[in-house]
Amino acid sequence: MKKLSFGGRAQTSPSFRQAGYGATGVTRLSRQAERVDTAATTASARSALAHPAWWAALAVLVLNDHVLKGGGLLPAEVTGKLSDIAGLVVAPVLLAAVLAVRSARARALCCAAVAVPFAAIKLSATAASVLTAAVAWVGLRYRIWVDPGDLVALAVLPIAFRLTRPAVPAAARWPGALRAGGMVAGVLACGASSYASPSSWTASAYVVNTGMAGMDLRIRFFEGELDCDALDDGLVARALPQTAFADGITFAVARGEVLPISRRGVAMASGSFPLEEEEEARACEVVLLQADGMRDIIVWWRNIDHRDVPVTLGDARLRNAGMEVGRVDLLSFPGNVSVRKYQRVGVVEARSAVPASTCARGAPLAWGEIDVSLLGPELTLLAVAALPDGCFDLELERSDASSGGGGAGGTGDAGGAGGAGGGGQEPAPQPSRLLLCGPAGVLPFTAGDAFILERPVVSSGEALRLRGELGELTLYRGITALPLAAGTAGDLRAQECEGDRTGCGAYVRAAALSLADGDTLAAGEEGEATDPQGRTLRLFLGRSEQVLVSREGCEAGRDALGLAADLATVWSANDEGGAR
Amino acid sequence: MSRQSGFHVAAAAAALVVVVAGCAVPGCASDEAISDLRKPGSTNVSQGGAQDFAEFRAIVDEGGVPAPGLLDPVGFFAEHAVDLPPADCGQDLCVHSMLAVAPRFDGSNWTMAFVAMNTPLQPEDLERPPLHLVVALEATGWMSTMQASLQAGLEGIVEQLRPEDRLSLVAYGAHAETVLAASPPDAAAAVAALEGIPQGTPVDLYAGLAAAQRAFDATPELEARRLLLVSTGAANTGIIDPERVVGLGEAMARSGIALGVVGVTQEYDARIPAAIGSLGAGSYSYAIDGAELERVLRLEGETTLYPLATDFRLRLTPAEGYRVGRLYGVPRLAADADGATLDLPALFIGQRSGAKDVGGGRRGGGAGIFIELRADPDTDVGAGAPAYQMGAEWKTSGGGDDAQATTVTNELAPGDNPEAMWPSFSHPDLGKPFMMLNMYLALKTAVELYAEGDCARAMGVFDMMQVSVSGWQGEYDDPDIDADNEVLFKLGQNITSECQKKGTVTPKRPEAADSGCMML
Repeated sequence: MKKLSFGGRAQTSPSFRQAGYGATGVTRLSRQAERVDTAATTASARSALAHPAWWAALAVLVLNDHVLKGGGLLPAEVTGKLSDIAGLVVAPVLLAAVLAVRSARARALCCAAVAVPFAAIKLSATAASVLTAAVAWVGLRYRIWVDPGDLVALAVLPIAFRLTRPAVPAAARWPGALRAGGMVAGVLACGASSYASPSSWTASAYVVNTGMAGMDLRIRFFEGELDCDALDDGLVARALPQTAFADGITFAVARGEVLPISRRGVAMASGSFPLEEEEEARACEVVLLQADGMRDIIVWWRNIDHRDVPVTLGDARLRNAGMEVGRVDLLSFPGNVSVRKYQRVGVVEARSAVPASTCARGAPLAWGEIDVSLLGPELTLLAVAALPDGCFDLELERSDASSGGGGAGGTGDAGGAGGAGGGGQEPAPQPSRLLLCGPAGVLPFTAGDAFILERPVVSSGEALRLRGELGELTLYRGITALPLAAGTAGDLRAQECEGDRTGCGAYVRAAALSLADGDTLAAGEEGEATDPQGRTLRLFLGRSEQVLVSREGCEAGRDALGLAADLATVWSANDEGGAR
Repeated sequence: MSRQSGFHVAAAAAALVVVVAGCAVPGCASDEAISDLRKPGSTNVSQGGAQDFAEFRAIVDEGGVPAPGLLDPVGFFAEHAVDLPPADCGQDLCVHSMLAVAPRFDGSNWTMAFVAMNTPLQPEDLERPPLHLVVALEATGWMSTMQASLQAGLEGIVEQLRPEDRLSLVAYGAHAETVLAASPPDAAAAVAALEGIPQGTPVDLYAGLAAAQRAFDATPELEARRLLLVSTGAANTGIIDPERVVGLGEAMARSGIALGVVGVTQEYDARIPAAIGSLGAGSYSYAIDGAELERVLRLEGETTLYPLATDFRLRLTPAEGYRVGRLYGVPRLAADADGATLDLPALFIGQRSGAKDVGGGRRGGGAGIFIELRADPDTDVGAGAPAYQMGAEWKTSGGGDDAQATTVTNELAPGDNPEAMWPSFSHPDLGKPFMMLNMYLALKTAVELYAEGDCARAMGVFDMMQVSVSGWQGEYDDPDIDADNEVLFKLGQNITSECQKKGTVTPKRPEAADSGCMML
């Protein structure tokens, strides 16, 4: 399997790595090494293998591959480069020893024989593909990343060339058996190191290419928050368009290959995908899969533990019953891919658009910026205008200012056409403005009325109250329960209807307010309740919804999962036959 | 062929431009008055929004690969001249419905509906009542960095106003303030009003719109009303819910206010301004620097908008054997279970004085919506059956109701491709919109694949498209498509150059890309 591309997140690529059937590769290369060793070779040629520098490089290669990589001690960037550097020392010297070359030209050719292919596969995806295919014929499976940055390792070639010199003084004192052992160890290290892909992946879910052709599969992970408990095929199909998923990672998946599709597994398959603890701890996962000849599909699952998954279809472990959990087969044929799912995994076709829900979710209730000096003192409503969208534009003045300062001033904007009041020593302060968005008819005040502006503390969300002798309006935003006396009202519940995608990428379902008397108040509807003082309040339920999918950048109220509603409560003295 | 970078206006020789938004206020021309002005000739009607894709082109010209979000379909279409059938429907607004059927590059089927509008009205003959123009400026740091350009642009606007017109300036930051209230056209006064505006964050965009509305309310005698909003896209204090902010813009458009939006700064957040700009009530532009801002403001000053319709609703319903797939054209076009709907609060027809060609041989002015129709694999509907029904209804500028309906048939069975290596067009001489969409899809696919890191397929787009482009140009030699192809070619070079920095990549044709181009 070859990772073709990786968009979106920065990555470093370990290199000089190989994958797959490690045992087979070891056996074949070992036999070759033995055969070569029995041929007539000169001691001087083999003496290069006795140089401590070569053994040091070999040790680094083995230690790096078997201990450091994946051990978390060093970053992947470092372990990847270590493999390249050590490999470019070990391999040319080993090759020169095996071929028993002595001349400078032949030794240079040995270095070139390693360096040129190395450079080619680091620069060219085509060369990488050719090499991958070529070694597959001898039972080796390589994963190669095209990464010109890895060419920096070529800087060690002069060292390798120097080590291939036949007469290294110290080497003559090394026993032949040690030199032969070095040759075998070198072959093993180069041919069967563990920086090859493992013989199994660690994944919670995975796909298997069970078709007759290879395929390029793009994996894109969902970006955002999901209500895992609510997940089902219908929700996933309605809630998640292709745009809900991050940039992709594309893998070439050969016939019969297995590819993990969980984040952790993909991290493993791609070599150096940085993992966040939070991502590993997800209770559910949703992944978009895209391939030529296949409709975009979304695969989802929840509460599947990570476990070892074979890397190929031919592995007998794949026939274990437990392996059916989280498995999706992609039957790829030229120009066509069909999909088969197994246990505890859902597969749905991604839909760029879905029908709107039939349930209303209501309009948000809102208020504009409030000058803190207006909170507390009695205010006089100078004028109220309705904006074209139905919101209210209130012009306010502190009552104490108007009583001492003369006229109330004009009605224009601050700094605009509004005139100042007259009659006092000092000019009257400019009137303040308050923008309120609530249901029609919700405002129990008219011009000339007085009230106090308050910000009541509520257990959830936030609130604004206009409290006067003649009426009281309270706007609640983002509440999760009716903020009235216990026993007066019930709670918010999601309605039995489909949800809607929002502009920010969230997915929300309408919610209704269950009242204590058994009635249900849907978004946009009006009802009645009694407050702790025994007054009858009119209730207006504004936006009321359950957020099932949330995305970064969503507005307040849709930036977190769960139920929330906007509510207006209105008490009017006129409704109760006069002022209290 | 040279290509101008920056913002340009799509304008035909007759200098007809923009469109859309509404007039339900006293003083709009009556039906009778408008009918007298009908004469031979048709003016295309767009659904408002971006006027070009200049920023995308500029980045390509500079050797870069633009982000997918910069390829605005409305702006792209606006750079194309699209010929429609004559506007001889007998109404102020004629809705034309077309269909194209062709294979995709992977051999599957590509069936696309196209709906566009034109009008027999000639805007140069319409009489414009006195205008109240309110310019709402976001009072943040950009005003300082682009001060000279803003002043020059504002002077350009004032130059185009008539003595009976009025200009208001609203500055909004943490608070909204009317710094110039319904003033006679006076460039010096307008520039002076800019001085001393406090700048800073946060930004109360809703309050800015509300202040603009108050400015309009203060001059009810001025019948033509137009708001030009200059914004970085910030809306982070006060009423910030996008539904409320855009809702106020929509309500203003519905009340007859033409609404233009100019985005500024490189940090521009397009989400809310773009939604307001796509209401159909005027133009939507982005100025990346001061020079562009000045040019955009001057162009806005040269544009006159006339209300054409309000409460416009277009509904496309697939016939048996089809369902709606992807939609292209305007953000307000929405799909549901039974079809697709475009709701616009209002439509304007526009005229621009001193208009220039869009550049690169383009005439511009194209607009329309594309709705993909996907064949039901189990259908037994045969050839020559209806493919979709189009219905449109709106209120005329005089307040009356008007409507149109059309059924478009497919000469092929659902899902079948034409036997000839040429698309099947319902209007054989008017196939250009579909080729225009094809070029858009090619650019879109390339930048999306590149953004996702799929260099091989991103590079493969260009090779894949060349036969189609050559085939089309061999038949029509269209300057717009030629210009598109030049952008596509340059983009291909840029993508290849960028990708080769990461290693040698062999292009791979994305024949089965889900967005899908048609093959010809």
